[in-house]
Amino acid sequence: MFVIKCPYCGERDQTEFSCHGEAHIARPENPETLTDEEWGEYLFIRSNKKGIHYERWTHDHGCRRWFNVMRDTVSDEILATYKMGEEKPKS
Amino acid sequence: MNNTNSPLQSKDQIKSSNINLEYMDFIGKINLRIRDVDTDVLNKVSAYLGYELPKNSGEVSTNDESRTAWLGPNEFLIQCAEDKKDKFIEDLNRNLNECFYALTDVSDYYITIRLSGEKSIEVLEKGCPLNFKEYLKNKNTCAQSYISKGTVLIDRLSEDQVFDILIRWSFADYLWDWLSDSCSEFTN
Ligand SMILES: [Zn+2]
Repeated sequence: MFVIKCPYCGERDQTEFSCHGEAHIARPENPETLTDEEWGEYLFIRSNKKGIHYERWTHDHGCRRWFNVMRDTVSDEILATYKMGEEKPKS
Repeated sequence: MNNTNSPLQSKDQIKSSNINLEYMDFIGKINLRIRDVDTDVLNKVSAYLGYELPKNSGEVSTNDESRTAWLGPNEFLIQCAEDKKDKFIEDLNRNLNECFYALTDVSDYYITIRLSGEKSIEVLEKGCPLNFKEYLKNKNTCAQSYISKGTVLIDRLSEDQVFDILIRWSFADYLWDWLSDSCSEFTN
């Protein structure tokens, strides 16, 4: 069984969760001043890391809260989970 | 009891020495959402209900009139007798006047199925991924998860195995059949 630790509920089966892509991408403050390339960069371009990756998850069948996960994309090992707004752990 | 529209009214309840399945009518259910860690709202709701609201995942606070389950760090489910529900909502709205919160009557949104008897956990384990050695171990604990394909809130009412399973109305028929089937090996 593959278990993920929700920062609110504790260790739960992975099937209670879903992943929503890369974390810590800030929406540009003044989108109207951006070029199409810059806006496209924000919308579509992701780091696609091999190794330590930070991503957003939700505990869909539990508390339904969003939180962040630090995961190694090579081994799939989850190294840390932390609440939204918290500092990302050092890799 | 005659609930005119329960999707489970035509179902056969199960009664046996080690497993029971029944549906519960007339439970008022009120969802409360607040801002994260809004102690002012928490205090006002606690003062009205007469107990501290649950602070952590899996906790249920209760007295004779109501029971309140933790749904999230800023979300709670208050359950009471259905005929008391309107007064609870009215009073809470009055007490929380000027506060930032949302109080929603979800009484008819969830159906309560009660599973009891010493085989209850064995029945749940067939379709629920929760580790029952860690979750729902004692009276007045709750956990949100799923059973087979239905998302549920499971609320443990007693040190004996008595569980109220709250499921969305539209899934109730499906979950009842699933549970009923799951119980069948223990009933004969
Ligand atoms: Zn959770």
